[in-house]
Amino acid sequence: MDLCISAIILIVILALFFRSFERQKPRPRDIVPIAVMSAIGALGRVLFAAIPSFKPTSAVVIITGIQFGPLAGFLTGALSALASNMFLGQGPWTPWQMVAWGLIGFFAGMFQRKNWFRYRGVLYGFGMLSGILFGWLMNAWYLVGYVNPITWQAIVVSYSASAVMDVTHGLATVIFLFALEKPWGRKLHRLKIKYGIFDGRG
Amino acid sequence: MGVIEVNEYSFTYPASEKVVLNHVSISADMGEFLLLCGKSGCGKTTLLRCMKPEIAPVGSAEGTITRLSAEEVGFVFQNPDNQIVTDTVRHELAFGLENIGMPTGQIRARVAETALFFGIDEWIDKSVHEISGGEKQLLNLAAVIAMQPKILILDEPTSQLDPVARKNFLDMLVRVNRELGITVILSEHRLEEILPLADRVLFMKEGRIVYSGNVSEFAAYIFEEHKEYVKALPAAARIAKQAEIHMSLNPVFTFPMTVREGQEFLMKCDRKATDLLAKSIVPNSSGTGSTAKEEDARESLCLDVRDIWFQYAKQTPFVMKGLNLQIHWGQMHMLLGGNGSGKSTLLGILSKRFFADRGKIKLGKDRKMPRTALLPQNSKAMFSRDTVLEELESGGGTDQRLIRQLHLDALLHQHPYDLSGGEQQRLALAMVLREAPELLLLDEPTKGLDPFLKEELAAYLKEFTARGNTILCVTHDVEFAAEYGEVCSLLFEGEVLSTEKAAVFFRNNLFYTTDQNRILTSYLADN
Amino acid sequence: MYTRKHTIFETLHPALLLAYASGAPILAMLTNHPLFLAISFLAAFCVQTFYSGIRETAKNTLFMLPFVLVVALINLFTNQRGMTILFRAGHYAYTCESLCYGIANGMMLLTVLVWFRSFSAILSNEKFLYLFGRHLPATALLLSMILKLFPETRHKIQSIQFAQGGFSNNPKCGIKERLKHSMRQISSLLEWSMEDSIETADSMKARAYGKAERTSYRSYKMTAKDRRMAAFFAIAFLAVCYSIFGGSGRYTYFPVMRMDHGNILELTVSAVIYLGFLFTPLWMELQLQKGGMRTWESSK
Repeated sequence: MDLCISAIILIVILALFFRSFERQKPRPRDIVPIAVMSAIGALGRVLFAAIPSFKPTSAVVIITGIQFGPLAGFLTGALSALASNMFLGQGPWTPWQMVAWGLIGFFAGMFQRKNWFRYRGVLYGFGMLSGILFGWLMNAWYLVGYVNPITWQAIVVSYSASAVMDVTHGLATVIFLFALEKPWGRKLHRLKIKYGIFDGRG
Repeated sequence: MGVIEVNEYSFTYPASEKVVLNHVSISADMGEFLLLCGKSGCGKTTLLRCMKPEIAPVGSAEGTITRLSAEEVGFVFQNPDNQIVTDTVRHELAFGLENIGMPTGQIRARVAETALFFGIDEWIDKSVHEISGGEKQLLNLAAVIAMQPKILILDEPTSQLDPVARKNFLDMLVRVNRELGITVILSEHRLEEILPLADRVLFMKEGRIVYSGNVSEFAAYIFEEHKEYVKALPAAARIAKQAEIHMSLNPVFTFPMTVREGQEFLMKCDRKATDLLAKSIVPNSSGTGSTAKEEDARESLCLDVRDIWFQYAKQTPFVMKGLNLQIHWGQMHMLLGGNGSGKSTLLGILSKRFFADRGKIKLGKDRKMPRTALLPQNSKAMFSRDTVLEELESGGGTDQRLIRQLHLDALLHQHPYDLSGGEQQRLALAMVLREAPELLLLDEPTKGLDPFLKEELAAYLKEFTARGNTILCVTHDVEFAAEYGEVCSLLFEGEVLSTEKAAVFFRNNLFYTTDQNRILTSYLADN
Repeated sequence: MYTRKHTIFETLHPALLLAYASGAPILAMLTNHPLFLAISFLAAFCVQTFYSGIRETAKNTLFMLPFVLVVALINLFTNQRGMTILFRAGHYAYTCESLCYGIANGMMLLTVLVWFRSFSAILSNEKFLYLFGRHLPATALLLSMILKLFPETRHKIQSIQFAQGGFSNNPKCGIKERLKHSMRQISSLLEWSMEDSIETADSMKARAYGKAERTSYRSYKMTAKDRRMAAFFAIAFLAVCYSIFGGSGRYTYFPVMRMDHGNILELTVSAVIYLGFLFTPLWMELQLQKGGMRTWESSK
């Protein structure tokens, strides 16, 4: 039962964001970078196959949020999750992943609007927290559905079971942001100038 | 009254002094096939884009161009992959029709008709990544034609295709032009197959149209005015010109364009003289090497690839099937073969990116392991930094001599992606030459280059081998291999079928040969 | 992976396929009544076998079995309700009911996972995009573009690794060096993909994107047959829900395991309906073989 309610909440969140994207009448310049970033976010891990569970997805989604705005951030996160599940196989976690990554991108965009990322510490803290919160949300999908009643012991057990993974995820995201946020900002800025596109509104 | 008219049109990019288009005037009639040619960077692409308002570059312009709507002008770009938008063939065909708001029933009928016309119906259910590069470009053409444009503009549409796919594409383009009566404006570097198809040629130089007229006189014009562009003309025309010079014929005005026309032209000439001419162009080097030469060959052996088998993963087909190849020091070795014959894989094995499952690679008599470097097919795969200088500095110090030799000194502070295709390739070459390789592996180095850039590259490579270094070059470009290769090998399905001196190689081949050989060898055989 | 294609089931309207593909796991999530769980698991297993073959299905199911155990154990150790005590450790009592409840929840999870395995075989990406695109055309287009970019990006990654392999394939490099190489490769990927995407944007503009309200190529008509099937799905769904929430299909684990209001007839009827619904793809396929002359109908 809880699962149905949570599913409805997730779908409403997704629908709200997708609707506002539709209402914007997006032009090619709005669409294309989201598509590219989603593909890189989902497949970039291939380049880091040598290091286990070292995935750039969150960092790519955060950078998209920063560079192209909250809505683009949300869409990149959500659709990157949906599309990779279309290849790997869907699961009940699909909407949870979509919303979790979507919100990471959205909040990255919002923080950038508020100009909070001018302190590097905030950016790295955001990266770390996003990794951990993502893991928590992912725990939630099966806690809500398959562990009943949800006792505090159950929560502790499952969260501590995933703690190592979540912290690794957060750390990886911080490392990616440390290495990529500035150079990618520069690269994307050059493209914006060269082609006069990709600007949030332009 | 033309379908589209460009009137005294001039164009300058913002923040640039250079006038890219200088009072250009063109008029294309209904159903005409126009060929636009000229050196890279002469303004062809800018001109073509200016004719299509949706993608016209931003800058200051003077003069007028007939304004047509998006549906009326179809545009096919260079790269087959990038212009595909959606994930399935069917949806891609429908994409433009969906955009103009056509009702569903009509879209379906139109898609069906277009698919049948182009023969796409057999693979319409496929996903776009399952089809080949040539099929992708056909799909792009079909997707544009489905919108029923009046004019079709194509910007070097075949530069990324292999020879067979290129011919297929051009055949289809001719059908579009002749059967549907759609006006075609095409820009191209390789004139060999296209010149005979065109109704009119426009030749551009430094932003101006300096020639506009019929095809056969175009050759005469080029021989007269733009000697540097002669290389781009069809072999038939070049041979006719040679004949004119060598045999002091009356000046030729209507040059032959196709292989058949070339043969007919020679037939009409004086037989003895033509014989001499043919022999002078195709050197009759003896294919039988003496024992002394063989001894020599053993001395100069660099790598001896013996019976190599390779597969990318277990239970997948073998890409190399018992391949044998000998590479000699100081030679420019060309490796020809179709798609999927395993050419690039072989380069990967020689550069130790992949390792063979069976077989041996032996060193030559000098037991020297050559330092190896590989220039990838797409230079873009090598770039990751923000300026040319940074790219060059990344692997240790910069070699000033190398930079000057490859004409990179003026570009040092530019971004690698702001360079032209030829410049990007030179940068990539400089990057791989940093390690002072002795064996240089090249993967399709002439893809997308115009004849001048090709010659420039070839000159550099010749100099490189003259210093005792070795080159193994994988290519589809038969003309390039014939002109600059010393030894050629034919690769088919993971096996080397023949390795010969270049001249012998092309004389022996029936189909895998240059037009020049086609014209002359059949002539020689007749006598 | 083998996927059965061209089933008679897929001739139904995509909306019905979606209703089935998402309805089956949703119903599975709603109850942990052992009978319904067994039915749903059996059906999920058979349907996946129907689509992917027995080997694939058995492999997948075995692979997911540990999750069942994890969920069962978490329940056993965190939940102390129930009367039948298995063993005690300190002042905690571990009960049989709690273990069974855990196993039931684990089975439910397994069943849902197995159902989702068949999701894309039941509802192809093409049809998914159609349903998605009816209300969200721009988002569906975006999704389709991402699907197109996936293989292309994979190819670019291979090209980059191949091209830059000469510098970075050195196994002697430390992890820091390797990380640096990989970071540079992903930057190459970004720049290359972005530059290429400019041409994609141009190609969209060149084909009049944004000129008018977009229409859609894809169209599926709701036929009379589809409507009958929709009615069947709706009735089945309601019947099972009624049974689960209001009647015979309730099952209590605590404090002792027992069925509520054991109306056997009602339970049997709803179980049969449930079976009928879940096995739709299979019985439709069987029906195909006895089509024959029945397709000829005299006009009334």
